[in-house]
Amino acid sequence: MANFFPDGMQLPAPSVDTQDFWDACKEHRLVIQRCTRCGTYRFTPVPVCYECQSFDWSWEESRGIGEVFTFTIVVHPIHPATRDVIPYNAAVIQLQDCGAVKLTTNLIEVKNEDIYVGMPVEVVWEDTTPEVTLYRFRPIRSS
Amino acid sequence: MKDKTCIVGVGETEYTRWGRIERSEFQLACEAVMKAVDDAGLSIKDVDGLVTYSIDRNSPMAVAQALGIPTLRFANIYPGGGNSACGVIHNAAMGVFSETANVVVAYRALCQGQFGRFGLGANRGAGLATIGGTAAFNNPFGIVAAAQTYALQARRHMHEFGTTSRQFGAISVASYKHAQENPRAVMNGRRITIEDHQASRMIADPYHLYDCCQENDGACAVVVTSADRAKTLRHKPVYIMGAAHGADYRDGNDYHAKAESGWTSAGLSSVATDLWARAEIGPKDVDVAQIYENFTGQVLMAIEDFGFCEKGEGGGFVEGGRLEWPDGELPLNTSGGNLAEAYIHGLELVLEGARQMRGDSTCQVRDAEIGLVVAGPAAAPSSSLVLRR
Repeated sequence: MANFFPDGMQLPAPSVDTQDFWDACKEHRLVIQRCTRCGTYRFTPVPVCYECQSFDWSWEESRGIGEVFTFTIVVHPIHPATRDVIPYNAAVIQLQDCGAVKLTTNLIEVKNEDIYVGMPVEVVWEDTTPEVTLYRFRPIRSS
Repeated sequence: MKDKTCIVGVGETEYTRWGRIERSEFQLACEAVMKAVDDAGLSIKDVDGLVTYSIDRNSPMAVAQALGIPTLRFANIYPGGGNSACGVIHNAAMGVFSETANVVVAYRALCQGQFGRFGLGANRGAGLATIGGTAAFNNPFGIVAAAQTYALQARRHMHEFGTTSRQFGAISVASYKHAQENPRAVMNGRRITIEDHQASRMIADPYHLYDCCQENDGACAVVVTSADRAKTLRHKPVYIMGAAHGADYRDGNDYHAKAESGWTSAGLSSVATDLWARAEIGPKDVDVAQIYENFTGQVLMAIEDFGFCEKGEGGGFVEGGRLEWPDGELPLNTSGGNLAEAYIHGLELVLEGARQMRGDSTCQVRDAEIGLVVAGPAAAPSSSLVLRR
């Protein structure tokens, strides 16, 4: 699968708080932070629970299934590296599991004009570079 | 603090399209401060407080030093971006009300020509190969700038409530209409219709070019002092009747972590509640409003958050000329706003709010007594003021 964006598009810089998340991506695992004390899920990764203020958490693997919560079609290439791929889509996906957290991604194997809020989608892994793996999503097609 | 502090001076440089002003952004900051102090009938020697907001290229210490302020007793750089355009006035008022300083000037200088489009430059790391912070979870996916982030929220509002792009356009049309009366407005001479709005090029669906704030060079400033002192000065005092600055639950820099309702709101519900309580008024008492247009959809959501209509009904509310001077029920952005006057990060809206109370606006609302000013919607912590004559 070709990379969604060309070389020159920014890649994530993992931090102390997010290293485990990005490492799991390299293993093709989408993991969501879960508070050990009260069970609340959260995204993006931060070191404390917003519900009970516990500093203990675990990572729970998501099935990677969700639906499009909202989306946009970017037409004007604000980032110079996107000049050759406009118009491109970006979507916020709400996961079916893991507390229905939301993440930003891009949809592949679909025409921009066919994207709609509520579209069921599943994760697809893109080994963007040897160091970085990103999550894209595609529509779930009934066979 | 209600009615204990006043705006007594306003000043601004010329406003141009980005890249047109050759003087430094720092010089513009100093010029705007001096013009506001002059307008108040004061001297720089009377000023003992300086506050600004957002990126601190022109820090209060640098401005105070360059201008020769005798004693600086109050200095601040308020957090965030345009969300602090009213917060900075609130902060100046705090400085005066707490008897920490006597005369505080709030200012903002923004030369997007010299430093790049706000939100894409160094603070969003567009030039870097990798990006950390919360942006690591959206930049690599092509959501790198405000227009794109806010488009995501606008789309959700359209999905939940049936709001349309044409309704967003009604907000643009109002701002541009008002700019035609204002010779200082960058878009003076460029009126637009809804059809122009719809035909304008798409930036990030559903946002067209005319849904987005401009990119400008310019600076403006506002002088705040006590109500007692204000009565002795040149202009009729503009009273700060109420001010509020804050964020709703789970509303911060990371849009992923928003509460569900936050996606279709401008994050101003708590600010609105606090503001109305402090000013002891409600939406029906407002004669004129300035609401920061980062983007039209966010203005619409702010109108809902402040209770001018029910949540979800903003689309119908903004149609039919309701926002247009002179006959509209809620004249909005009466000097042209961020869309059509200039994008000085929203501080220019405070100047227009003050002018409406002085009776000096180019689209003066007849008998205007109470004005609302709202800073950057959907950017936490956002802020708002009620001004009265």
